[in-house]
Amino acid sequence: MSKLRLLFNSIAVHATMSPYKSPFDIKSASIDALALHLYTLDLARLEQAFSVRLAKRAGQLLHEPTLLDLATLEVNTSVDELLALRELTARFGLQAISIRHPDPSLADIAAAAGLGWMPPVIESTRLLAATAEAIPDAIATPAPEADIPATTGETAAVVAATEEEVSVSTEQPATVIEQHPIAAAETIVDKPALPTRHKTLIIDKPVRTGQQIYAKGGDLIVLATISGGAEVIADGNIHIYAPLRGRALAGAHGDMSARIFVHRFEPELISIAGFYRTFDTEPPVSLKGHSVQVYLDAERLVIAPLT
Amino acid sequence: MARIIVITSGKGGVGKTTTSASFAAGLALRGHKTVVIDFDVGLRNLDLIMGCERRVVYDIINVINNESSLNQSLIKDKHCDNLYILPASQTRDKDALTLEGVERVINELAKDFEYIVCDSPAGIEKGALTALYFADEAIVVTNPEVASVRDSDRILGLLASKSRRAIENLEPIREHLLVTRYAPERVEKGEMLSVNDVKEILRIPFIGVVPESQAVLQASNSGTPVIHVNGADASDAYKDVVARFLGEDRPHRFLDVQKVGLLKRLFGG
Ligand SMILES: Nc1ncnc2c1ncn2[C@@H]1O[C@H](COP(=O)(O)OP(=O)(O)OP(=O)(O)O)[C@@H](O)[C@H]1O
Ligand SMILES: [Mg+2]
Repeated sequence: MSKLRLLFNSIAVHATMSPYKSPFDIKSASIDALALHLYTLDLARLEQAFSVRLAKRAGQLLHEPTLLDLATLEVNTSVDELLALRELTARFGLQAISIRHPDPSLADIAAAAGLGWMPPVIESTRLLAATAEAIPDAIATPAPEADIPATTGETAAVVAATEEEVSVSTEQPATVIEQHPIAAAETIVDKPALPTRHKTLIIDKPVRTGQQIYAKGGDLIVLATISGGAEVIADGNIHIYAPLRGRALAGAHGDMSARIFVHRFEPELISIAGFYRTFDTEPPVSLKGHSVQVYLDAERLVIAPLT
Repeated sequence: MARIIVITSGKGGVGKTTTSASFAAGLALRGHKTVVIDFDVGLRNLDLIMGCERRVVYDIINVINNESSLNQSLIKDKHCDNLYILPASQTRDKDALTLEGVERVINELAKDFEYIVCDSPAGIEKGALTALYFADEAIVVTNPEVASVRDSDRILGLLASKSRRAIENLEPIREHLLVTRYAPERVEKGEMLSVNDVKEILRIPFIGVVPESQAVLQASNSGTPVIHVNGADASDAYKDVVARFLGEDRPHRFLDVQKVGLLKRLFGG
């Protein structure tokens, strides 16, 4: 059973204990899930690729909620095929909860196989429902897992970042697993992905120690100092026209094209789409206090001075 | 309209109560009718520093619980005419200090007083939040060391988000940075942050420094706010702070190491 369903169950149980409350509530929820990009539906081939790349997971009861991304496939799939796929991924600890594909007519087939359906550009669907807002007290952010040693060059400090990212390749890659957030079920159901102007959150007051700002679904512009021990997060880009002394996390929901621009670079941590770097020791002299931009080049975090 | 001023810091033991006593006394010496409230329930020591601990009968919690009138609880200061003290309770539970209760007390005080000075407890919990909630101005007391500056930064965040002015979207609290226990010799040796370092990190208007001073401890022990110890460096410093608060332009002092003159060195001062 997926995390999402567990959550709904617990709400229902709670409700039956109170005779005055509605027996259920529907609430928007956001969960972290894996996205399994499949480049074939040849189950034998997939099984072989899984046993090579996901051997560690085989037979483990991990039940990780997983999105089956079939977006690149011309699918003519059947209920039986999806059921078999579910069963296969489950054996590797991946609990499929939904498929992702542009063709809405697959929704019925998926439903018959106990799976949800969502359109490919999940990011823009999220944005429809999302408004940028400041959340001063704790919200969930992707937690850094390991410190990455930095190598620094004359002009740009380049860091190789790691993530729990597995790409399964036979001749051409058969699957890619990425860390990916899935938006709430009901925000996705009946809203088609429309072009939308991403809302930008502008903060013109200092962000102090212990404070956190989150620009949900868009960019963040900060016009005053971000203190050590403060944190700014955006699903899009972050522009800071002041000193950054705390943490800045752009592309918080996985947008690898997000960037961070900083007028004065003295951070504790920077992150783009979960690729992060800490500055336990001070940033290199060539960067500290300078104007820089931070972006991902493939999976390397690049910090380059703005000249 | 009464002005409500909170003396706050986040970190404990940095000189909030010392500052509350001398700052309130300084306003009174300048002719302003002032009351200083101790918000440090359970740990009250403002009354000790003001030398009125033996005259405490009722405290702020009695007023909130309607067990005494405000007039019964206010203690008239023995050093100057325009100053009153509203003590904290030594024995009551902190939770008795409710926002509604405090609001009632402050509204009543506002009818009689020009300045209401609130001595905040340390921390960033309920007690400190209650003390800063109604403030119009805040004196952020900081020692020149990293942990204290960090905590002051945190308090500045709370002033900007958890105060009445922030919540009701009114004009923000006016913030003043006061660096206390400043020892220029130790700054020169690199053992303490300089005033410029602290200003650079916190970036709020600077109201002055109070030097590390023997006079403070002596004055506290004798129940006299140090501002009354004429000739003492800390007294001069607090008088400057009060003057600047009232809008006077006074040059900053006590920032540099005092050069001991040749004669003084030869003849031992
Ligand atoms: N300028 C100064 N020079 C020397 N000692 C000082 C100075 N200011 C304060 N102190 C001493 O520091 C100690 C703490 O001062 P005080 O009680 O005013 O701090 P506080 O911030 O109110 O503490 P708390 O957080 O416990 O309420 C006292 O012993 C006091 O005498
Ligand atoms: Mg105190």
